[in-house]
Amino acid sequence: MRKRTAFFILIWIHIYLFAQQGQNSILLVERSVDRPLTVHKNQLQINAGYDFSMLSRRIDESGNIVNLSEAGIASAMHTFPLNIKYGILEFLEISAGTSYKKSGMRSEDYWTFSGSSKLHIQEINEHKGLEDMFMKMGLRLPFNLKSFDWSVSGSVTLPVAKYKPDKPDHEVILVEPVYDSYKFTYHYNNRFGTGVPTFKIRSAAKFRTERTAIIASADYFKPFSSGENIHWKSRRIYEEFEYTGLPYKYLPSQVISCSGAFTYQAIAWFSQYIIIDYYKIYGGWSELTGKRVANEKRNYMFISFGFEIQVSPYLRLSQLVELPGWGNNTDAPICFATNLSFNILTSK
Amino acid sequence: MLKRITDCLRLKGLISESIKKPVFLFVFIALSNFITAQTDRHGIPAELKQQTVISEPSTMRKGFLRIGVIYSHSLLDKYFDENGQKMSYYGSSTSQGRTYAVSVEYGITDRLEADVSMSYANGFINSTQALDNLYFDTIITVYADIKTRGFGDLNFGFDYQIIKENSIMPSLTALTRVTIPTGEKNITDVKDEFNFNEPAGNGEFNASLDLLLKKIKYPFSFDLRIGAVYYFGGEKIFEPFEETKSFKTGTFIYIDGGINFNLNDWIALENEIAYHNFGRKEVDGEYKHDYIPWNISYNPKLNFQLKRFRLVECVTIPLSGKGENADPAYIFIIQYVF
Repeated sequence: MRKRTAFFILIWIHIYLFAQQGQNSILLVERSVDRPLTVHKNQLQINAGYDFSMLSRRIDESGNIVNLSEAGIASAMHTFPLNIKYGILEFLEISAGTSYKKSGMRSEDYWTFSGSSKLHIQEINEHKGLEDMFMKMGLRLPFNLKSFDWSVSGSVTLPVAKYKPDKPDHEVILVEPVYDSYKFTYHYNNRFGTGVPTFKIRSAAKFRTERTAIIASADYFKPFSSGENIHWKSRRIYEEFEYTGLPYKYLPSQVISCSGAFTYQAIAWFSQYIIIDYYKIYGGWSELTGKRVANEKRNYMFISFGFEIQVSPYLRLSQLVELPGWGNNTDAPICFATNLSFNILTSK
Repeated sequence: MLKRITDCLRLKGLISESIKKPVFLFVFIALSNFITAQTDRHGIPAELKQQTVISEPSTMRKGFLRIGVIYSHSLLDKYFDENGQKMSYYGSSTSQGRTYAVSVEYGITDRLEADVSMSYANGFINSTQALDNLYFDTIITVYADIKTRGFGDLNFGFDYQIIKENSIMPSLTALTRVTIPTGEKNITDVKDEFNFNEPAGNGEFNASLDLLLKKIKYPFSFDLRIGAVYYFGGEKIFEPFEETKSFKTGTFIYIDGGINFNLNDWIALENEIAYHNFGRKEVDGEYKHDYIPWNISYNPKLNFQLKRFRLVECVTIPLSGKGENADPAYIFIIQYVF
C-alpha cells in the first residue's frame, strides 16, 4: 500500500511539474497574433534595442518633399530605447522606460568673400542624452475573448532627463593672417529632455483570426505645464567666445496620434507586420525670439514594415524599417530599428 | 576478434592472465571510440550543409560549394581625429557607401578551401556650399555630386586548416588572399572639381595572410584571428584636373576575436571585437598622415540558418580610434550551400 501511495504521489508531482512547465512555455512562446494587449500576470518583459535614423528629406508646409542634401542639411540619429513591463494581474500591467539618443544636424558651409579676405562659417547642432522617463499603467479586458481584446493605458513622463543645453563650443581660427581670413565653427550642444511633466492616454483594440491580427490604437499627449529653458547667445572677443544664457518660457505641443498594425503569422515563430502611424502636432508656444510665438502645426504619416522571430521561450527579436509617408512641416527620416525582448515568468 | 587480440598478447607474454579482462575492456572502449568517430566523420552531407556558424569547421568540407551575396551600407557623419576624439564632419555632406559583393567558397578537400569574391560599388557624396561675395553682392550655391559606381577589385585565395580541431586543441587555419586591381582606379567623368565619379577600385595589388584559431564548445564557439595585408603600390589620379601620382597604402594589420553562441538551434549571435591598424599611406613618396590611423570596433552578427540558407546581419560599431571614421556600418549577407 505504501509503495502504491508513493508511486501515485510521484506520478502526481511529475504531472504537476510538467503542467507548470507547459503553462510557462505556452505563455512565453505565445504567437504574436495570440498575445493579449498587456503582458501576462507575473510576466517580466525587458525590451532593448537600437534605432538608426537617417534624415535626408523634409516635407515642407505645402507637403512637398525637400531634398536636404540640396538644401544644405545633413543629419543622422542613433537611439537606444529601453523599457520594462510587468504584469501585476492577468489584465493589469505597469511599465517604465526611457531611451538614450544622439544626433547631429550639420548645415552647409558658408563662405563670405570681401576683397582679399574671406570667412568660412560652419554650423552643427548636436543633441545628446537621455529622454524623459515614462511610467505607465495599462488595463485590458479582464476576460479572454478569442478574437477581440481591448486596452486602455495612461502614462506620465517625469522631467528627469537633462533639458537645458550645455554651453556651445564655438571656435574661431585665423586661417590666413595676411588676408585677414577666418574660419568660424558654431557648435551647439542640446539635450533631449522636455523639461516639463507630460501625460499620455492611449486606447487600443486587437482583432484577430487564426493567422492575422489587426491592432488599432489612438493616443493623446499633453504637457501638464509650461517650462523655462535657456538659450545661449554668443559674442566673439578676438579669438574667444563669450556666452550668455538667456532664459525663455515655452509650452510643448500637444500630439494626437493613431496607428493601425496588421500582423500576419506566417509560422508559429515568425510573424510579419505593417504599421501605419499618423501624428498631428499642434498647440504650444515659445518665447525664444523674445515674443511668444506659436509652435508650427505639423502632420505626419509614415509606414513601417517589420518582422518578429520567437528565438527561444525567453527571447524575441524584431526588426523594422520606417519609411516616410506624407504630411507637412515635418522631417521625413528613414529609420531602421532592431529590438530584443527578454521575457520571463517571475513566479508560477 | 578482441579475444584473439588479447590471446595473442598473452601468448607473446605482453600481458598476464590476471589483467586480461581490463585490457579486453580497454581495447573494446578504444574501438568503440574509433567507430563513433568514423560515424561522426561520415555524417549525412545534407545535415552538414545546414550547420550553423558555431558548429561548422573553419573551412568548407570537400565538395561543398557556398555562394553568397553581401550588401554593405555605410555613411559619413563622425570621425576620430588625430587625438582620438570623436568629432562631427562639418558641412552638409550626405554620404552613403553601398557595396554589393558576390562570394564563392569551395571545399577542395576537407582542409583546403578556395575563395573568390568581386564587388560592385554604388555610393554618393552630396554637399552644398554657399559662396557669398560681398564685393559683387552675390551668393552662389555650389552643389557637389560625387558618385562611386562600378565593379571593384577581384579577390581570390585559399584557406587551409593546418591543425584540425580535437577535444582539447582548437583548429588552426591559414587564410590567404590576393587582390587584383580589376576595378577602375582613376577619377572619371570629371565635370568640374565638385562633380565627378570616384573610382570603385583601389588601383594596387595586395596580398594577405590570416591565422585563425577556432574552438567549438557547443553551444559556444571561440575564435581569434590575426592577419596582415601588404600593398604593392600603384599609380592613379586622386583629384580632378590633377596628374597621376604614385602611391602605396600602408600595411594593414588586424586582430579580432569573438565569443559566439547559438540562441536556439538555428539562430547564432557572434560577438566580435576587432582592432585595425591601417598603416601609413604614401603619396608621391610622402606620408599622408604623420600618425598611424587605427580603430577598435565591436561587430555583433546575427546568423539565421534556414536549412542550407544562411542570412547574416552585422553592424560594425567603432568604439575608439585615430584618424578613422566613427560611424556604424550595416552588412547583410545571404549564403547558400550547394
